[in-house]
Amino acid sequence: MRILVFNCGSSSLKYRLIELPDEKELVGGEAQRVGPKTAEPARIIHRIGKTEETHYVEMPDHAAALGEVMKLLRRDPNLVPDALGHRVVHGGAGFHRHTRIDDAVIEALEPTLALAPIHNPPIVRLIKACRQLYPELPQVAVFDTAFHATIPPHARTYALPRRLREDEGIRKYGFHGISHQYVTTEAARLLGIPLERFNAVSCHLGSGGASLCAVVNGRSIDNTMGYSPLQGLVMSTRSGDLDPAVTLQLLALDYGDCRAIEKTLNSRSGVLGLSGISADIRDVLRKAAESGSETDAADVTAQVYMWRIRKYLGAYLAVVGNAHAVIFTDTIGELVPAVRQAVCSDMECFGLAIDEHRNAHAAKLPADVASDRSRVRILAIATNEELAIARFSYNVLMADAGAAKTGGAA
Amino acid sequence: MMIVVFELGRRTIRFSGFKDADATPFLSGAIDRCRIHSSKDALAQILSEVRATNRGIVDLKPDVLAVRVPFGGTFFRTPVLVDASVVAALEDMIPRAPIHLPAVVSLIRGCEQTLPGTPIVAVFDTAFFADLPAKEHLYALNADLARSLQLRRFGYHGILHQAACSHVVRQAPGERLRILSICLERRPELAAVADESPVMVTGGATPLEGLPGERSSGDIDPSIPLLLAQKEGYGLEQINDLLTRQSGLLGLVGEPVTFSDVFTGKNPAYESAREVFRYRLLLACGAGVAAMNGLDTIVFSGAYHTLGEILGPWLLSKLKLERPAKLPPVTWSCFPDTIEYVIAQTAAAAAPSGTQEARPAAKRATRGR
Repeated sequence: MRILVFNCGSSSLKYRLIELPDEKELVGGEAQRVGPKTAEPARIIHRIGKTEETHYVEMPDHAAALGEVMKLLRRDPNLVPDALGHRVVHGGAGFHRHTRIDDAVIEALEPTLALAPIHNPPIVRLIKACRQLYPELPQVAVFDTAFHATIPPHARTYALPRRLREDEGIRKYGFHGISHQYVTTEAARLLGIPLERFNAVSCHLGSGGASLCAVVNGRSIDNTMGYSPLQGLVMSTRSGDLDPAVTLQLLALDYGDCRAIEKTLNSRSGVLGLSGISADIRDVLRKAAESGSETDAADVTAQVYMWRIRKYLGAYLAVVGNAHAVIFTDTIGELVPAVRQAVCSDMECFGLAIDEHRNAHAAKLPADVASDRSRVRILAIATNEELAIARFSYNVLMADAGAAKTGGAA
Repeated sequence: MMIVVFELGRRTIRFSGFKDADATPFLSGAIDRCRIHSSKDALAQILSEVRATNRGIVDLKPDVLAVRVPFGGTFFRTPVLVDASVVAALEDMIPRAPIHLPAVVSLIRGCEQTLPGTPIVAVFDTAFFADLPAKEHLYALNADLARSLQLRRFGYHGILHQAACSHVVRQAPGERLRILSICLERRPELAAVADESPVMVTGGATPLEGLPGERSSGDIDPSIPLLLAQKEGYGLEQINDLLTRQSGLLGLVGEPVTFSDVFTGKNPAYESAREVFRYRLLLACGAGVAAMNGLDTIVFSGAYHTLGEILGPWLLSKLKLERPAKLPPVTWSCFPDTIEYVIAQTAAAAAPSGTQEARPAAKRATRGR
C-alpha cells in the first residue's frame, strides 16, 4: 500500500509517499513559505531518491500548495497513492486514537480549531481539499495528542474550578505524541522488551519545541506540555513553565493585551529570550564553551535549559518507577551529546549511568550511550514523524479492513 | 523573655505571644484589619484588647517584637533587627510586593510608637532562598524584561524549611544531608536542600507557583490566564482571585476543604483531589532528588506536618531510589514547631543580647545566611 503522508505546518507542507509495510520512501519533499508573501520566494523542494529539485511557485495557501505538490507527483504515473495520512496536531478531548476520516470526523474536528488556532485550521482545510481531490481514497488523521489520551486523570487535571475543567475543557492534553509513540516503540523493539511491558522516559528535544513523556506499559502517563505547547521545558522561543502570576503581571504591564503577551511567551522567550544570542541551543552551547565564564548569558541559558530537563527527568523517573530506558530524540536529542551528558550525569540514584565516550561518539543512531553498569539504558533514537504517520495510518486501515472482514463474516 | 509575633493576613493581623522556650503561645488572636484604621494601630489595639478581655495578663510587656515579612527580595538574606535603614529598604521594595509591604511598614511604625525602645525583628519568608542558584531561580523569559521587573523564583516558606532542615541536621551531626523539605501549609511548598542550602523549590515569583494549595491552583499551563482573559473576558483581578482563592482543593472538590479533610476524611469526593495532590508531590520529589542527585531524608513541617505520617511512607514506597550499601536507608520525619514559634525563636536569636535575661532560643537558632 502506498500512503501519501502530509505533515502540515503553519507555513509549510511536508509530504512523503511511502510504500507500506516495507516502509520504503518513493518520493518526498516540502513546500516552504506557504501563505502570504515573505522576503523569500515560496518554493517546493522535491526529492526523488537521492536527487533534489527546487520549484518556485506561488502558494498563497495550503490548498494551492497541495495542488502544486500533486502536479509534481502526477509526473510519474507510478506515484499514485492508495491512501493519505495526515498529521493533526490537536485532537482535543474527542480523539483518543488515530482515526480514519469520514464526514463525522470532519465535524468532530471543528471544536479543535479553537484549541490549536495556529496549527489545526490549515490542517483541516487541507484534509477537506484532499477529500474533494480524491474522494475515493481513504484518509487517516494521526493525532499528536492521541498517544497522550492514556494520561490518567490525576496527571491531566489542573487544580482549577470544575466549571473551567469540565465546561471549558481546560486540562492537560500533551503534544509530540507521534514522535514519543514512535521512539517508544522503536526503543522497546531494540531492547527486546514487549511494548506492553515497556517503561521509559522519552525526551523529544526539538530545535523548536521540546517535551518529555513518561511511559508505563508502552502508554503515555504524562507529558510536560499541557493545555497548550507552552508548558514545560525551556524551548527555542517558548518560556515553558512560569508562575501563573507572572503571566498576569505581564498582562497588567501591557494593559491586558493578550496577543502581545502570547507573542512574548511563545516567540520571544525561551533560549532566545534568555541568551539574547540565538533561539538554537547549539549556538548557545558553542558560545558558552568559548566564553568559559559561568555568568555569561550563554552559559546561564545553557544551564537553565538543561536544569529544567533534568528536573523533569527526575520527576518522571519517580512516577514511572521502574524505567527500562531514557530515550533522546529529535534534533537536539539526537545530535547534541552535551545535553544528554549534562542531563544524565550524577543520576545514579535513578539507576542511570551515562558512558561519556559512547555518548560523545554516538554518530550512528540508534545508539545506547549508557555504561554497562547502568540499570536504565540511555538511548538516542532518530525520530521519523512522517514514517510514523504512514505506519499508524497503515495500522488503522489494516485494522479497519480486518474489522470489516469479521463484520462481513458475522 | 516575652516575644510577640505579628503576621499580616489578608483580612486580619494575627498575633501570638511566647514566653521563654515554651512552644505553646500564652497569647494568640487576630484583629480584623477592617476594624482598624491602619496596621499602625494594631499593637495599641492588641494591648487594649488583651487588657479588656482580662486574659490574666495585666501587663503585656514584650522584650522583643517579631514581624513576619512575606517578601524581602534578594536584599534581606537573614532576619534583621529593624532600624531606619531597614524601614527605608522595605519602602524601596514596595513596588515588588505592593499589597503586603505597606502594611508591614505601617505595622513596624506602630510598634515603634506604641512600645518605643522595644527591639523589632523582621523575619523574611524569602530570605532562605536569596542565594538560590541561577539555573533554578531564572525563568526562561527575555533577560532584560525579567531583570527590569525583577521576575525570578523566590520560594516562600523559607522560615519553616530552614528551621525544619536545621533540626534534621542537628539530629545527624557531621553528615552532609540531602533533604526533601515539604512544608504542608495551606499553600504547600517543597524544597530540595543539600548541605543546608536550597537548590530547588516549587514556589516561584509568588507563592502561587508549584504545588496546589487549599485554594490556589499551583502550576498550570502559563497560557491559561491568557485564555481566561480572552475567551471568558475575565479581568486581571478576577483571574487572580480565581487562581489564588477558588482553585486548589476547593476547585477540585467543589467545596472548601483542608488538607486534613482530604487526607484523613472518608468522603469519596476527596479521592480525586487527594490523588492529584499526591501525584504532584511525587513529581516535585523526583525533581528535587534529581536536583540533589540523591536523597537522605524527608522532613514535613507546617500546620499539616502530621500528614507526613501518611505521605512519608507513601513517598518512600514510590521513590525507588538506588543507594550505596554503606548509607543508611532514606527516612522521613515530622517537624512540629509552628511558624509563629519558629519566628519567635528566630527573632529572639536575632535581637540584641542586652534586651533579654536569657536566650532560650539560641540553642535552636536557625542559621543566618
